[in-house]
Amino acid sequence: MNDHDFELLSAYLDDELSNEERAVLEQRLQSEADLRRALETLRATVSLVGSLPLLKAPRDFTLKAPPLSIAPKVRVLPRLASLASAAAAVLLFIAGAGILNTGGGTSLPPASSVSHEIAAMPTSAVIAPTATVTNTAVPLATLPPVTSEADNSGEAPSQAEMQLSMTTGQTASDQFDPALAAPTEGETVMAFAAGAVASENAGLSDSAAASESGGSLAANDAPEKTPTPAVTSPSGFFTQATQPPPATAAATASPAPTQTNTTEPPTQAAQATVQVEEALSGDSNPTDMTDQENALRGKAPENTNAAAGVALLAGGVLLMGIAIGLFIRSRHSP
Amino acid sequence: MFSLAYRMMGDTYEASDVAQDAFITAYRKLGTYRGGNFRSWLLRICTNLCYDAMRREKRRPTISMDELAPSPEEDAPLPDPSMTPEQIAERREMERAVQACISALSPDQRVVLVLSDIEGFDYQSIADQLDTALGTVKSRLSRARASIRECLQSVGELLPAQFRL
Repeated sequence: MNDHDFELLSAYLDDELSNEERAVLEQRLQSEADLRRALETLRATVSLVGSLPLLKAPRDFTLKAPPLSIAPKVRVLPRLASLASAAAAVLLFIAGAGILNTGGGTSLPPASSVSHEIAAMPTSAVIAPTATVTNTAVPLATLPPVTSEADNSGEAPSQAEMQLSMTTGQTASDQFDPALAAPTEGETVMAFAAGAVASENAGLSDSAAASESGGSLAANDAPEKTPTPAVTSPSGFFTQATQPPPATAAATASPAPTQTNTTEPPTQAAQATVQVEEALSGDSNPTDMTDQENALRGKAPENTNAAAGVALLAGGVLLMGIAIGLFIRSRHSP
Repeated sequence: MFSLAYRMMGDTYEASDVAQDAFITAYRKLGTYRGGNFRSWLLRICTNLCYDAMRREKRRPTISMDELAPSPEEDAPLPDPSMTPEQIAERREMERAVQACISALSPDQRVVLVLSDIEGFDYQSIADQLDTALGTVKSRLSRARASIRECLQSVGELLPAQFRL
């Protein structure tokens, strides 16, 4: 008896044989005792397996009570946080945009730091030996309209209306007034003109060389005319007038630092009006002025302000993203 | 459903889990029912879940807690209410022996044996449920029955006389 015979017996019990197969198998069952015994044991086995009772589930799988309904929670905190983040983002945007638009003009560094930076420049000003400058550094933001009052000791030239022409490059040399060069004793005033020479001007280097050698004004043809010590810088120059030119510069456009020597009260006779706008009417232009200021103040403050503005904008973007995320989460959360 | 799962799994807790999963699956897949015998459709789902459970058990053998679990056979209805307690005990003994032999089968043979000899499906229905050929069902069933017979003959001395092969 082999597996095929057993398969036939199994199918015979289930009535799954064809008529031919059944007939052949029945003939063999009549003649083969082993096959008959195998069929009986197999039938008993199937009977035993089939007699297994239908089992009852140990528990009911149906839910008789309705499921508890969970009341949706109103999550207030994420929404408040979202609104607060959005408001903070808007404020940061405004602040950042304001800083970037103003170009950092409202947060200029103190004049003292500017002067130090100027002194630290490679081709920085060479202070004339006779120049006595007292640094009364005043933050530019707090400065009144630039009024350089040079207090004279009273020995100033009577009608020394020292109009310091703050010009650029060649203009300075061309329009140089010899009266400015008049050596005087007394207090010196160093008026700083912001709208000055463009650094690429060739005359500037000459003037710088001249000022280094003799401390004269920054002009090609000026050194021999100008015993007045001058301080020059690549981007501007200081004019030290021994005459007290109470320089009243209507320099709202040029928030130039002024360094005055105020040891004595000003005299009315000695008032030199420094009008920057007139001085700038020549070769200079507002962009040059801005460049000048930037060069004098150094790039760091503006860069710092720009970086602050960008940082504020970036913070605004970040907070806006957080606000949007919180909003979406509060919407999708149950 | 539970009875099929228990015969397949041989464990009360696992059979309960499979039966519950089968009902949940049937509820979710109710849209896939395309007519026909609904009982066969349900048992097919249960059979497939039993297959998955047996594969997991094969990979990760677990210690049976069946000794602690109440045997569902204890609560099974008596085939004859007039049976004496001794007869009832002998019958319970036989049922446990058969279940043990069924549990010793391979999953393929076990499924075919349960669907055929316990649930009463014909070969073609089993082949349809298992997506196998009719000849495969026939051969698996014959081998399963042969194995059960040998198993019951080996424990024949422990069985009551009327159940000995």
